[in-house]
Amino acid sequence: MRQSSRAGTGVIAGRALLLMPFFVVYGALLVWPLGLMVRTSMVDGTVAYNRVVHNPLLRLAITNTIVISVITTFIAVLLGYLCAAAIWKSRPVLRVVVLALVLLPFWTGVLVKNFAWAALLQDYGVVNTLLRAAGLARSPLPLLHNRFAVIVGMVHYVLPYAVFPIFAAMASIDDRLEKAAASLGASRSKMIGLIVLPLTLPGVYAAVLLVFIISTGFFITPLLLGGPRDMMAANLVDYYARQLVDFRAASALAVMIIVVVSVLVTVYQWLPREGQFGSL
Amino acid sequence: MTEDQASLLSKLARGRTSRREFMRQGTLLGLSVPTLLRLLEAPAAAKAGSKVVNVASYGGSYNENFRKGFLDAFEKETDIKVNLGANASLALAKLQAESGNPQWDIVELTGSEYEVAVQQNLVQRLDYKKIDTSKVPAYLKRPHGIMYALFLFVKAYDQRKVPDARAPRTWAEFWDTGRYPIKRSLYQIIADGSLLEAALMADGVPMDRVYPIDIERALKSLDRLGKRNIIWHSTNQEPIQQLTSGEVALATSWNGRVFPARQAGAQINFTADQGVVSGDYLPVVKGAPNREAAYELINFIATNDVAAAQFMVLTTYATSNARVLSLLPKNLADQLPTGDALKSKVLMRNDAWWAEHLESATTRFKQWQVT
Repeated sequence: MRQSSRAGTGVIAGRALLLMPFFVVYGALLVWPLGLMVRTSMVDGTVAYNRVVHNPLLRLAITNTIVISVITTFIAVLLGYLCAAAIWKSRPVLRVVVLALVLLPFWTGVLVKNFAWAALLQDYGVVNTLLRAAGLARSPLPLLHNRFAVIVGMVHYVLPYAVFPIFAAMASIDDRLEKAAASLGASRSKMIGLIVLPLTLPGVYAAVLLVFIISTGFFITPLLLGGPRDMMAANLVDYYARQLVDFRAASALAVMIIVVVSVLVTVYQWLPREGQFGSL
Repeated sequence: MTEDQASLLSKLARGRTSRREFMRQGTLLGLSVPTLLRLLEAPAAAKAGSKVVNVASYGGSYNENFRKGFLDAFEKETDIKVNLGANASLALAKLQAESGNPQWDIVELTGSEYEVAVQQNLVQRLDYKKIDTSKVPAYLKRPHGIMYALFLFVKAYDQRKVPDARAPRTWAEFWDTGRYPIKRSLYQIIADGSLLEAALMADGVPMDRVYPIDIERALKSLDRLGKRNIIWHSTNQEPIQQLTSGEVALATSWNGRVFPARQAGAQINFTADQGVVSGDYLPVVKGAPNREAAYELINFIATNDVAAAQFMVLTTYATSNARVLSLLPKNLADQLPTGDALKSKVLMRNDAWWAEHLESATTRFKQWQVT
């Protein structure tokens, strides 16, 4: 840092020039529309915010968004960790197969995945039919149009976002560490607890952050797989924007969601990191 | 109406006429020689500088039928090219009007959306000097638009589980969980469908007393049906999919959705009694650049008999051109919401009530749904 400031204005100007495309793209595609949205929300002062705050549905939508996102994040990161470990430890051919199994749904549209789940989970769908054929259920289990289905659909969607950062952290572990630990007599579980887990924590943190942010913005999955009670914040934005065509209230709610999620993310980033655990 | 025309219409009704044949016969029947010459001169692609009109409708099979029924014939007759898009909504109309430079000249709107659009000053007053409405019944003609397509909110059922003889003829029967101990799929966008109206009729409210809607009574009626017996849908293809896959055996749907599914072989059907008639407008967005071309299209839809017949045959939606109705084969005319057979058995939706109570009704309904 010090060095660069001594290096003269020419270098700084050059660096600013290199960053230009970044500023242009983010400015034009993110900051500008967000600014427009903030402006729309405040056209008549805080009136639109008042409307949103006094909507009896707001509390439900916010609670749902947080609860569903936290559960989804927990399950997805847990599964993602196991999945990443499997990819990391498997031999080349198997690794490609498992990786493909993660990537294939990643490249599939969310609607396709949701409708597939609907076909699997409905009363006379694949799962219920199999359960009844096997004699495990007499009447159809309620698997669709409830919170369970929403979380299944969301975990399926976000799983790759959990796998990749964790896998990246695993892949960068020096495999000599394991040999060193083994040579010092560490058991397998001790090795995982003292070496693998601490070293992969940055990946886990990144996965949690990414998955949580994506989860809070879900819209179509609660609509298709959930019931009315599983309405999330984005569904309420849609309700304002499309059913009531109240763009001001829709913008106000969107601004509120962005602020809340930003605060959560900032707090999360202040939490102790890998350094503290790694130095145990 | 000559005999030729009648035979063409009945052929259309049976779906036996290919588009080419239709055009050839249509030319023989109605199109004038100058039109014919223009047809020969103008290739399919629009020439640079020629007139266009951009229309946003709903996409999918509806757009196909809209094009086959009205737009192809309109393009041939007037040399105005129609760009047909999807995802029409009140939100789109509002964005277009407020942008000051609309890309869509016409945005299709439902009846209650039309009322809101007029209230919020998003659409243009029509110039009725340029639109011939002599064939349009007065109740479909409004200052900012003509209700051009009318459809029925109906009780659809899976024939494999509910044979035609046992089909629900009234909403009270549809509600009867003793008669049908199975789940019903209901349309939860109540401002678009007519679920509250159906709930009131199920509770014994006579058709002419449904409006003004007593929301609490409608919700009590829905409570009586029981939330555990209800699956909610929010898009129009869902009930068809749910009926054919066996997820539900009864569903609210639209006549124009059940009909094509039946033609594609689905074993579903509907009953029209106590159905609710609603309709769509083709309003011109404030500041639309191709206003004149838009008027010509609206005029064509209101006046061209062959195209109107073709549209009704393809969709089973009625159109504003009431005169064509008497020229259609009886079995088709009897299915249409404006036909003599159904007219007295169905309820005309009160869009003005909905425009006024849109927010309070939808918010109250959502609240009820989540408790």
